Amino acid sequence: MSNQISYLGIFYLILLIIPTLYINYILSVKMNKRILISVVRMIIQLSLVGLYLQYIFDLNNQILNVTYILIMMLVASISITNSTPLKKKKLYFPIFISMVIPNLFMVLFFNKMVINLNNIFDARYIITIGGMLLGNVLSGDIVGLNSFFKDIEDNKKIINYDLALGASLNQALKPYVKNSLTSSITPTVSSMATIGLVSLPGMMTGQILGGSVPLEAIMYQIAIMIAIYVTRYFNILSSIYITNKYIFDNRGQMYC
Amino acid sequence: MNTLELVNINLKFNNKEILKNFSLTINSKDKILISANSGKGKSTLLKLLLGFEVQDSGKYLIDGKAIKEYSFFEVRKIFSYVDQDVSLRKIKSRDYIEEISKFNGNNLTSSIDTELCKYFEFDLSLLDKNIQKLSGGERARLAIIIAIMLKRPFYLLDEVTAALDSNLKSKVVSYFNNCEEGVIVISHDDIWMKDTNFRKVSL
Repeated sequence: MSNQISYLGIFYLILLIIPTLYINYILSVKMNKRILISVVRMIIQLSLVGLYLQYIFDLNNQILNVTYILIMMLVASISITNSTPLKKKKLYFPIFISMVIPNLFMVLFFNKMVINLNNIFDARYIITIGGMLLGNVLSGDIVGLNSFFKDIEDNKKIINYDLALGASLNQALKPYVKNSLTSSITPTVSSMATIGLVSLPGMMTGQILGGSVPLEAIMYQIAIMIAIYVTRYFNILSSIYITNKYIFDNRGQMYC
Repeated sequence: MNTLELVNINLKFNNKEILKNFSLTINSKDKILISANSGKGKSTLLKLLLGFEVQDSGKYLIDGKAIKEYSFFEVRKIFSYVDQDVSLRKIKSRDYIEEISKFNGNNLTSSIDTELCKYFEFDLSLLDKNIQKLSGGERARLAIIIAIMLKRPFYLLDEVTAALDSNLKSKVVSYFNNCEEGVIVISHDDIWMKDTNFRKVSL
């Protein structure tokens, strides 16, 4: 096992934040309040996660584990929905559903087919792997959905023209689905190409610090990268196609 | 076969009365020029026919049946529409026509009708240019050619001659004046009424 980080160690790091606050002040970068709130929030949130994760791991109740991961998806889908420019109320549900399908499938597939667990609902795996997937899918979905909603707003006339030319809604939206999908998966595709060269990924680093041998850590890293890519891919597609059912009426017009 | 009927249509847009108790019957092969001052809802009328706008009250019937009984995607197959801004996609003309040929129920060929190009003086070398890079006049003619290739019962043409020179204007007018299909035109060009079969309808 690696050396433990002490409270004093964290405190030393916090001291290093102070110069950035001072420079912000000089440069009139009005972010100091936000930075402080963010740091405090991070510390409180992670401390709580540490406490209740320990508790959940000890209990390791299957229903509780699945509920926990569903709640994580709920929070993620709320934050995605809030980042979109559309009327929110209608979208919470479709975005949640479009998140559950690919993510739950992937985490269970991963546990069964990749790491061959006896109990695919084991807290140590379903929550950690699920959380890693979600964190990555979240950013992909925000980028992709915002690109999509902006495109269909900007290209409303072109979309209507295509509809008038005989396109189905899906045919008229195809160019914007394509853009959205591209912008959503590009960061993952690029990071797969550079991983190990310009950065050592967090998961692998964590495992090595935790005592795993590098080769074992690498297998996990490769597996999780592929899982992230696939989940991100299907999550943006399901988000677009499921929300479309809620934002277009039978005339092919947006009413959000 | 197709008869379009608008009966006592009222339509408000942003609290402004666009259409008030408006009635119009359009039979197949009718040639109609819609005239009204700017901002009086001429374009809205075309959008209503296409099912992009919905009336607040009144009836829109196709062959005697209310519009609600059709799917809007079906209704749109009756019309070849060219909008005021010629909002074509920003890709190569050639690729766009191929794409349109794949839309459900369209039976146009995937390559452009060269006879029409010749008539409307649309240079075939423009097909490999991005539509965004075409001039206003070139784009209008491309949209007209596509509309004709669709072979649908009615044309809805919103200011299609605005960007054309007088030679091309008269070619466009004479084409649509002599065609077999119904034509509903919005235009500020008087040329549509010069020795043609068009009748004027005021909003």
